[in-house]
Amino acid sequence: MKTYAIYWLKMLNYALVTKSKPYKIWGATLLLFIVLGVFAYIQQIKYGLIVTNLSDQVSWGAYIANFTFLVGVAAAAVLLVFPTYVLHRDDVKEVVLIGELMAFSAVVMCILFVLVDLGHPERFIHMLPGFGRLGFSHSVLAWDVLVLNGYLLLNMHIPGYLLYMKYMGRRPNMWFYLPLVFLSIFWAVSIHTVTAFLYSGLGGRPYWNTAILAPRFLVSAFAGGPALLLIVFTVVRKFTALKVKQGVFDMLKGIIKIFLPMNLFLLGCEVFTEFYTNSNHVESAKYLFFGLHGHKLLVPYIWTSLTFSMISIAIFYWPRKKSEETPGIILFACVASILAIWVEKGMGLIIPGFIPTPLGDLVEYTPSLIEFFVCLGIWSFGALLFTILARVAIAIQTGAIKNEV
Amino acid sequence: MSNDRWTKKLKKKMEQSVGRRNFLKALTGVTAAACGTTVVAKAVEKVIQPENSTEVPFSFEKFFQKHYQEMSPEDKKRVFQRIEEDTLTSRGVKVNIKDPLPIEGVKFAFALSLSKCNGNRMCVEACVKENNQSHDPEIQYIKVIEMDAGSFNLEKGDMYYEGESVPKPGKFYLPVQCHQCDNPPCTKVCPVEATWKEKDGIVVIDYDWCIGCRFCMAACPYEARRFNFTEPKLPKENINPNQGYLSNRIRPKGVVEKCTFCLHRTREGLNPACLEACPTGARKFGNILDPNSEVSQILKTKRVYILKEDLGTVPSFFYYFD
Amino acid sequence: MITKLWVSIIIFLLVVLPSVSMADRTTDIAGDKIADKKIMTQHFPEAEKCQHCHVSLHEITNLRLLTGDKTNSIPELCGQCHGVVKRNWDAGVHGKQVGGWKNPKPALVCIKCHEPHHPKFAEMKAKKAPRRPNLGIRKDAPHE
Repeated sequence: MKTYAIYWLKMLNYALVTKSKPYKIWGATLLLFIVLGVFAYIQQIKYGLIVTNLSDQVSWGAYIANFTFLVGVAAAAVLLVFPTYVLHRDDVKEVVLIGELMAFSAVVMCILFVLVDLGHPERFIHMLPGFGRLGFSHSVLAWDVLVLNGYLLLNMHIPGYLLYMKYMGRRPNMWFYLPLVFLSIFWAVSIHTVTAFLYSGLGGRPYWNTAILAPRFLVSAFAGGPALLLIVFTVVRKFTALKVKQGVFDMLKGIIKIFLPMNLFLLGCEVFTEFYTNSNHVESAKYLFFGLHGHKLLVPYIWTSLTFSMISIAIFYWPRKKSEETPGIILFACVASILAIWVEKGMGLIIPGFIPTPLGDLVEYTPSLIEFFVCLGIWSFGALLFTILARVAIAIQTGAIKNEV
Repeated sequence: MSNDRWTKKLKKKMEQSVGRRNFLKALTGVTAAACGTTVVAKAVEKVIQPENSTEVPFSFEKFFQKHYQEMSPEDKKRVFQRIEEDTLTSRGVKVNIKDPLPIEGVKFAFALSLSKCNGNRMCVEACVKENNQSHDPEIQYIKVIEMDAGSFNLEKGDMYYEGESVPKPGKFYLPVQCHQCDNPPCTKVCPVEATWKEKDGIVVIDYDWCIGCRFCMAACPYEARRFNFTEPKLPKENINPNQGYLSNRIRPKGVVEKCTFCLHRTREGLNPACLEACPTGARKFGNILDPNSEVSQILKTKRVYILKEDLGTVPSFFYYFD
Repeated sequence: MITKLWVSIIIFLLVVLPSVSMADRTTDIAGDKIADKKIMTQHFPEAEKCQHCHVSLHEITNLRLLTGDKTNSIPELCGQCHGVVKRNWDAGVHGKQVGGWKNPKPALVCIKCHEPHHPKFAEMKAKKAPRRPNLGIRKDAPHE
């Protein structure tokens, strides 16, 4: 017990005590955004959700859009877990824990985004077993609550256990983690599928009520997730003792080269079905791509997203010499593809589902200042959490923190 | 390395005797923390309550209030009394919270004659008054859509029409409110079962159980539900004191509400407020299980139309042409 | 005696002629004076004369059917032309529901809601349109 406490104190110490300037600047900036986010959220608690730009017509906005995107980021951890444990790639094995910790941070962010979206977040106790009444199994949101929390526990236990064993210098007992690892491979796919089912099961919203939504979610997660991981590993290779092997970067680039075009293809399928049929149900897609009755708030965003996707694909496919460095242009392509997928899966999916409304009403939406700061605060919290966890995990993995008996 | 030195110091401290002294220290520490959190919580509450707020202050009894379907009659009595007291203190109005139960052998249905509705919106106004809906921000359960004659395309409808004289030529009017569906998509998606369909067909919400996730609002194909984005503001003189726990009591902020077919009236034999207010007699209401009721007759003899019937929601609201 | 005759002729000219000429003045609105109340019918063009529905001008409640028979039943009279409505009313599904939704309900006779001489309902002014939010409910959308 005492050793375990010392382990935590050592990790906390390593996280907080540092000479590294970039780390301090990064941490301070994130802390500032978190504090701003907290102040903004206090306004929301005080006055209610009226401080957002939501309305009865568009009842879900930036919070749920970010939640949807981050579930995809969380699911993308499977792209590291699968090569490590099924394909037995040793180069990926070095970084798989970082991927799982990113999934953990992403799920924490998801839960925070849902909590800030609720009208009564304190009534989450109405979901707990015993006192609460979770709407299982008829409510997809109840499924999502269970599935996300399960994934959270999985991604808390597996890296936690493996890191503690490494710290203690002991060989991990495979029964304590390997079955859960294989479970997490399926679970990662299921969290994103269940999140997609939240939308695709609603008959009253024809823009969402399509079978292709769940595959689109997964494909875009597998396109955007590796892009984020690529950026993270570039940072890790530059600033920490863990020298991520080039094989990992090549694998991630390969995954993006498959899934980013596939994402555009699926989007194309959706666009064809909507615009060729040209029924009443196409109004939402019309609003997104061309504007409806003079309202065209989202049109520039979706076209920018498409352009970014195509530019990213061009950059990734452009023939270049094999090198040990990740060129800046690749990093730019990663950022562009992440932004593109954020628009397409976040704002570009949630908002048009409400425009026009089932009764033909049209009310637009764009995040308010308070929503922006709350979102920024939660993103910063997740980023800070991940930075600390990754830094500590790398320290344990490289032996900088170990148990001294 | 500073890291090692620090950890060595820590280890030494932890190896010191863990005796009674340390236990007492820990105990005082915990008590201080508890008092500190309460003080902080009270201070935070002061910060987060706007001035002149009608919001009910936090209480543990309210926090742990049971779901309506699990309340015993004594629980209900206590809860209703508390709500009446809170309304008196926060809004200065004495109200009476009732809980009429569903009548046996009754299933409510609403029929609306599109030949007679002329879009005067008096039903909207009467509903707002009867059900204590917020005036600012404005909540109205009923939406009247002005449609072009000859088409049922809701895309081309207009719910923001103004009319010096209605009905306008070439238009007909379609009032839409909660249809109390038999296969409601809203109750299916609620993650905490805060909304459910009662035995007499009315879909109700327990406003003290709803967490405000608004999934039901996304699911409803008739745009029937409204959300309280902030504390409802309505003038004192407009408050209807005859309130039902599940229907027209004043809702707190952050919960969803909708038309309940005025169950505090209809479960006692009266007509809903919208029907009473309709000057053209377009609205009909009654027990669909009674073959002699008006709605049953209408369903048997008239050309009845169901909105979005292909979605399989099986509404209890029937439009017909006379 | 001749004076009396002249007086009666003058009275006849002064009283009867004006009333007759007034009756000829318009073709689609029939007018008649009954007990100082002027009733213009806008029901349908053929009802030029009150005697179309009323048996006599002195007993208005005695009603006259198209066949010439007499009746006191207002629904029977109105139902001659408004057959569908009458059948609805008999079944209890015509007009506004009053009193509650439970059976039996009071059934109001036609003239309780429809003014028989000007039956068309006046056009109403619709109540104000709902607020249309724009980018959140704190702001109103511009009028289009």
